[in-house]
Amino acid sequence: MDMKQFIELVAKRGYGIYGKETIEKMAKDAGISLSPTGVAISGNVEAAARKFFDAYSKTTPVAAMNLKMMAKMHNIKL
Amino acid sequence: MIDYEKDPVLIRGTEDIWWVGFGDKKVGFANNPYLIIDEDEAMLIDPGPRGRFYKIVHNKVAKALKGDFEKIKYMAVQHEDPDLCASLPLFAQIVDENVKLYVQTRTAAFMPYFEYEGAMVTIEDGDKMSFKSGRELTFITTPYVHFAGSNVIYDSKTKTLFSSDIFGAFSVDWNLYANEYYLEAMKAFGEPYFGDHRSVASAMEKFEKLDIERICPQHGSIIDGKENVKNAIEVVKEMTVGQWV
Ligand SMILES: [Fe+2]
Ligand SMILES: [Fe+2]
Repeated sequence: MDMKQFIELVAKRGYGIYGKETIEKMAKDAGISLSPTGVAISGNVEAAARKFFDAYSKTTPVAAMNLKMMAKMHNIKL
Repeated sequence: MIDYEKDPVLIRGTEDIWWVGFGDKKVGFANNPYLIIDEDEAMLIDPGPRGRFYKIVHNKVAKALKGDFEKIKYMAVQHEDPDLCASLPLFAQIVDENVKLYVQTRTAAFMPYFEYEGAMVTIEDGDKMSFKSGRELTFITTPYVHFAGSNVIYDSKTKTLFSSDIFGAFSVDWNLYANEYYLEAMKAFGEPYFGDHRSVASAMEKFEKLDIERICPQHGSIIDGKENVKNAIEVVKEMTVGQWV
């Protein structure tokens, strides 16, 4: 699984935790656009991912825990 | 207009099951005790934590019972976590003095640590209890999901499954009823907390034999309607669990 696919997975999980609107905004602020066809990133993928994951984790510890768990499951280094 | 902070909520499709919990949107962790009021008797399921949380649940139960706490002749805790057991001794002081606590044998051992000293009825898989009206509740054990002594409760009158932590969720965007994104929120809770696939599969097998109209979990949102219940069971069956190992 590459970083873009992982972002897509985390965003989907985030729809459940935070709601769709909040996740879309969080992603947009990190330079990531989410659409049914996948993830589009305008700049550096790693930098965008880091920004998105920071925002995702910062709001609540349960989301931070989930991100860690998903990274472990999919062998992604955060 | 319902005030979810203050009001008990009568669960859709039932005449006598009340949600008396709270949705902690900040942490993303709703806590859902339920109250069944069966004519002049009531059962409080998974009463909840202490402190400011107790106050919320207490006040909602008071409203639902119009102040008559002594209607509560029965309580049940479905495993030994403090988020559902800690307020037991506080409720024990105000409910019927002969209240019976239904608890699985493997969970009962922990009750004194919550300073609960009232009467207990220990249950095993398939045991039933009846209200005076004849309404029957069935206790179904779900070992290791997520405690050895975990169980759920099935109310055959309303076809409601009180599922404790199973089908629970983490949701900042909390609603009393599950929405289209709930299954992802449910994975967010189940994946980190359930230990192994065998025990989860065994629980799901038991649930598939029941006629379930709604699932009332102790966290997250109520899963309403047979089709949604079926989908939720499928998702839990496929969940990747035990990943911290
Ligand atoms: Fe628990
Ligand atoms: Fe719980």
